[in-house]
Amino acid sequence: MIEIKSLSKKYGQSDGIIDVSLTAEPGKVTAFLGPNGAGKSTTFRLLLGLDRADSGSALIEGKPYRDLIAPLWTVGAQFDGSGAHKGRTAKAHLTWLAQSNGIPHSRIGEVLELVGLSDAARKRVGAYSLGMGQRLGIAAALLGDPRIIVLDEPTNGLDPEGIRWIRGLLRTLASNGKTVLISSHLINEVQHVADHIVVISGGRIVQSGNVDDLVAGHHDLEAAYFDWTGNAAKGSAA
Amino acid sequence: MTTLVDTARKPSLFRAELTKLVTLRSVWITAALTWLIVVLVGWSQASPVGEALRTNDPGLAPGASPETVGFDWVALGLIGIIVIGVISASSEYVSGQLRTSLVAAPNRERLYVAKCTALTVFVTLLGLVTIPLLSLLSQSGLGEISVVNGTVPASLVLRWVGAIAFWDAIALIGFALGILLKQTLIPLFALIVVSQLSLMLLLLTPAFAYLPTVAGVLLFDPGLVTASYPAADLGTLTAAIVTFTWTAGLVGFAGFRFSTRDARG
Repeated sequence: MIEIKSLSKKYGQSDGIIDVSLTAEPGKVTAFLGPNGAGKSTTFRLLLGLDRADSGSALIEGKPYRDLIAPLWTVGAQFDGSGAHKGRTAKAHLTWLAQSNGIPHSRIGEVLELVGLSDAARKRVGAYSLGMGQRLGIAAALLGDPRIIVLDEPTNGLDPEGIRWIRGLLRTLASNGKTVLISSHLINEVQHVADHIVVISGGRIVQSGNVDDLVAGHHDLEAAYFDWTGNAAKGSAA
Repeated sequence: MTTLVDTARKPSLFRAELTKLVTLRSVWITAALTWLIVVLVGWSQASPVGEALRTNDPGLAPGASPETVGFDWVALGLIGIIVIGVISASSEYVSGQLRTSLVAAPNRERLYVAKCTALTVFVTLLGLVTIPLLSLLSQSGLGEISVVNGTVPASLVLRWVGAIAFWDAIALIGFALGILLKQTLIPLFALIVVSQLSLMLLLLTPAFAYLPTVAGVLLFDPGLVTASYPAADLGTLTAAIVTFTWTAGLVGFAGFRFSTRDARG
């Protein structure tokens, strides 16, 4: 379970996020939807203890991320790309990650196979395509078989086959009882995979709820999305 | 049925950081080149320097003695040590690596200590396979005036320890600057320039003896400094305190910044 309450963060003169609250529950895919620069990655950075919030709280199973010991057993996270140094091989990258959290070495081969990178395990990450880097980031997130998965724009750089694969993976993870939180700016993608949607625009949450409930009264999710974010833009301009 | 949790091992940030270091191609290539160049240069110079010492050749570097022969090449290896120290820090700020590190190890103080420890162990091992070999190869060219006659005198071993400690200190200073500046080029350039010019700076004022790149040399080959600049003789204890203070101060300050600032890398 992820609980974010009234989270705010400013970076210098930029707005960052303001009073963001959301909950992601086990067994569901929760999608954080918003345009580029809306505050999705900032929220994830605060959730994972990478930056400090100005106010509010972000808890994972009741604890701030920084209080987790060997966190990869609880949370698997991936930001845009592989998150690996370009000079290392995928295997070396996953090896140090496994060592840092006491994850058995045998798991490395399993996750590489799961994301379809077994044949490229000894290739340097610098030689990877965008999609391969994305798959490596997902492999790292799944390394500790965690109960909670947080993926930032997981379909970025994936080809149609890869997008289909990630959809299947996210649904499987949720059906296995895991808490899945993803961010995306792709409306159609979210509609295909999410149970619950939280829409952010201009650093503020503008809508949240189950997909079917949110779409009711609109032509489709895309129409609803532009309705909400358009209204938010007008509101902040007023 | 055995689950993944049942097969869990003891988490080790130190092992993880050591793996990070040795799996970076730039680090192990630099380490290999440092070893090769220092040992090769020391070996190739052993006979000519030995001959010069035996004949009191006036062209010999000031302060050269049979016991310290070869130690001037420690400074040559220092360039490689600076590269390793700086890269071990700055590599975190490439390709989102820092985010991954902090997601895996959110306790930043523990992560930072593990990084410093891994770097110290790595550089110490490199020093152990380089400096005694350099010294012994250099001694082999001295013939009858060699200080190694069946046994290695304790004073020579202490010089080895001092030289390895000097490498450790400079690597950690390079690491600290890399963390503070979040990049490779400026700390690398600044440290290499300071290390190569520090003896010349003593011409301006003996106060430059308090630079770590000078005080560190006093730990293993004081004659290299004091033969030309007698006022720079701080004594071994003061030199050790100066080197330690620079290292601990910069590593401590960089650690404070590392653990308190946002991880925008």
